[in-house]
Amino acid sequence: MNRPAGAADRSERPEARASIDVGVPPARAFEAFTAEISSWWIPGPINYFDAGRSPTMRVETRLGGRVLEVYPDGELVIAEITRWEPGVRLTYRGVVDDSQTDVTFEPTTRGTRVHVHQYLRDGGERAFLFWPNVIGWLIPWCDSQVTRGSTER
Amino acid sequence: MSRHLRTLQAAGLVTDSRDPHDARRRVFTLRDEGLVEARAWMDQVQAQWNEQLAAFRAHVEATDDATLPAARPRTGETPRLGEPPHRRGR
Repeated sequence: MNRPAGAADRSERPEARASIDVGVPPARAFEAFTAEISSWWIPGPINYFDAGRSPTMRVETRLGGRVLEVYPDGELVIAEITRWEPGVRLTYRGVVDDSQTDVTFEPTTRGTRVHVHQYLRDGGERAFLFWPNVIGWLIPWCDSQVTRGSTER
Repeated sequence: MSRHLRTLQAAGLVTDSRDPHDARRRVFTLRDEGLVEARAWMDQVQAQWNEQLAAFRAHVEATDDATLPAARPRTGETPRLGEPPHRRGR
């Protein structure tokens, strides 16, 4: 598998899959995926739950740890870690929605294949809160980008 | 069939109601807006993870001294994701 791949399976519950090969051992991939998430998570209007508050991502690296958006004036718990197997598997359960995400680290001859599977939990109803939430700050965020761009010229 | 319908119902894609003239019958109705929402969510999540995983790879391969030799692109090899990992100091 040479590029991020995966296809949303539309036959049953809402879910999405993606995977990628990285050239480091599983233990290192796991460490970077969790402890260093703020170094690689791409910021943007659709990549945070509350992008208007200048967030960064943080993962508390333990079973029961939280996945957080950290703002200059506070934080928001996005999810809680329900499975923590360093170098092997990570599962976190959404707090702001009813999704769950499984991340597995499969050893390969090249290093590690990282699989992500995010899905609506059984009985969940809040997966789509994402969109009403996004609409609320998408326009102000775009306006701020325009302003920022104009001042930089 | 009923299990499948329950799954669709849980996902908000269908709603059900009783036939007012025949209590034994349940009428399932497809919610177009639910379907659109589900597809929008799946497409969004899919695209977001593809983008984030590409960034993750660039980070982990650029910052780790233990990057496996076999994983490094050979001379003349086309990088697999467009831009090669950006090497930077620790």
